[in-house]
Amino acid sequence: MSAVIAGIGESRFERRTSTSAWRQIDDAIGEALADAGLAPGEVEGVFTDAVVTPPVLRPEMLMGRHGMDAVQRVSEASRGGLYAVIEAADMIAAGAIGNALVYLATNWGSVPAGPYGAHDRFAAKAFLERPYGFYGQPVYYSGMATRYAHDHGLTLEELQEVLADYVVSTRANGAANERAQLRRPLDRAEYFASPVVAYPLRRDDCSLITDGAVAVVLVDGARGRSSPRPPVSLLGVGLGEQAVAGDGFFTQGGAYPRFPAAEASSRRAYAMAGIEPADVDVFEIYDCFSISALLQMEDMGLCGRGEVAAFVAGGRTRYDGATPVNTHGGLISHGHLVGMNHLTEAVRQLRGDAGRAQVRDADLAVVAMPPNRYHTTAVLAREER
Amino acid sequence: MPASAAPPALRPFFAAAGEGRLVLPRCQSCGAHHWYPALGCPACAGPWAWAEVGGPARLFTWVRVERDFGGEGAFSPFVVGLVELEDAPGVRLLTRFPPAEGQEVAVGMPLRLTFGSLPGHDGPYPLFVPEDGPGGSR
Repeated sequence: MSAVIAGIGESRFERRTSTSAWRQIDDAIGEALADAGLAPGEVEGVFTDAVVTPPVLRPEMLMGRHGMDAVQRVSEASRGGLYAVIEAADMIAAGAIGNALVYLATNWGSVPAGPYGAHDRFAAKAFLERPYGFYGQPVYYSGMATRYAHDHGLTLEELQEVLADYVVSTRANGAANERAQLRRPLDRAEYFASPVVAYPLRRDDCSLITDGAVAVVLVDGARGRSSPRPPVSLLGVGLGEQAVAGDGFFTQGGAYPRFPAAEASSRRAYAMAGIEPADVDVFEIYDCFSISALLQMEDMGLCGRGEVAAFVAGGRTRYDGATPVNTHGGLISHGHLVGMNHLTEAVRQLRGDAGRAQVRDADLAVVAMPPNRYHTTAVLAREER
Repeated sequence: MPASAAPPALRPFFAAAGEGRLVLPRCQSCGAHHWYPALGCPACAGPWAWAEVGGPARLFTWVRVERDFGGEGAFSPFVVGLVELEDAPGVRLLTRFPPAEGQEVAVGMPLRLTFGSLPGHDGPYPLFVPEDGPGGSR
């Protein structure tokens, strides 16, 4: 029995929470369970990620606290939130469990090292990169931007025009999203007035830093037919892997600045769903930086190699453009929930719940993350019932 | 972290740098270089040994860092680069350029190997400078 997404929930997204990571996780899972019409005592699987979610409410804590006595499968995925969703869906499809709660939280606004500290665990980075000043995600992705421009014959000034196209579009999308952490739109002049942080990237090319939580409930298709809200099915999913170690990804990747894992995962997901990128109504693509979304757009076949500059010109990726991308404002405007908010936005779009940023007749959505040595893609569709 | 505190896997690299030599892991079976040190050759799983590398180098990409992301010591803008060595394909090393005003760097520019300190760290560390430029620390 294939799995469907029956419920979504989000805490408030804030630069620094006024409550706690614990409370935010409770808020998100409470909303997702209510949305799915599932009581905590009915939950059979609990899935989260093992990397970024703060350890205040690991599955065993959550289960005990909420009396989730029916849980028989627990998993903490090491390849991100969408991967945890795919694992949960596979277990439901295999009949091991009838439903699953998947959750992810970030507290980068509240921890002293912020998001950069996530890389301190690698000795090679501590001893061989940080002393040179090669430290912090804006620096890593800026290096990719410079190399991309070189590979495709763009000057860095020309590349910045492309980045501006994407950022202005994404900020317009975020301005239309009443849940967005940053709702102020940005025009081109304001983009170019934004301070450079790691040339060629500016502050406004960077994702937000967020305290928040997201939860998703999956149920088997039979139960989904009686869910309170329209169920969303996973038509196709894919995982890609690149043969490079975690400490070397930002320096030693063989295809730098491309993401071969994104190419592999997207092609697998499209093939499983029997679709082409041109069939897709809305894309939600992990945009830790403008450049990382743009690179994935090429890797995922939205356009050809070296073509993204022409592709995104003229606001094409706006919610009312020809190829809407990150209709919630992405990590740049909605908030940095490590891509789980890309999944909830795709569900909203397919339900017709996306408010001002609703894409007309959104029947098919693609969610993809992260721009790294591993990558996951999911093709989602509204289930007819 | 200072080079003197490096874990055993990285000590031969810093010991060689102290003698003005650049050494990198090279597979004794297939001859491929790799970086950073792995348990076995990532290409063929063969045993590897530290091997001296020199020769021509080129700038692969670069970033001008204009905001302090948690660096060590007092901050002023600088350019950090990734470098490829003709004699060790598949491997990239970091370098840092002096904070000279109007520093012109470009992808593909030829570089030569030197050794020096980095801000807050004596090293010495391998550094790559424009082929016709002065050496020295950062």
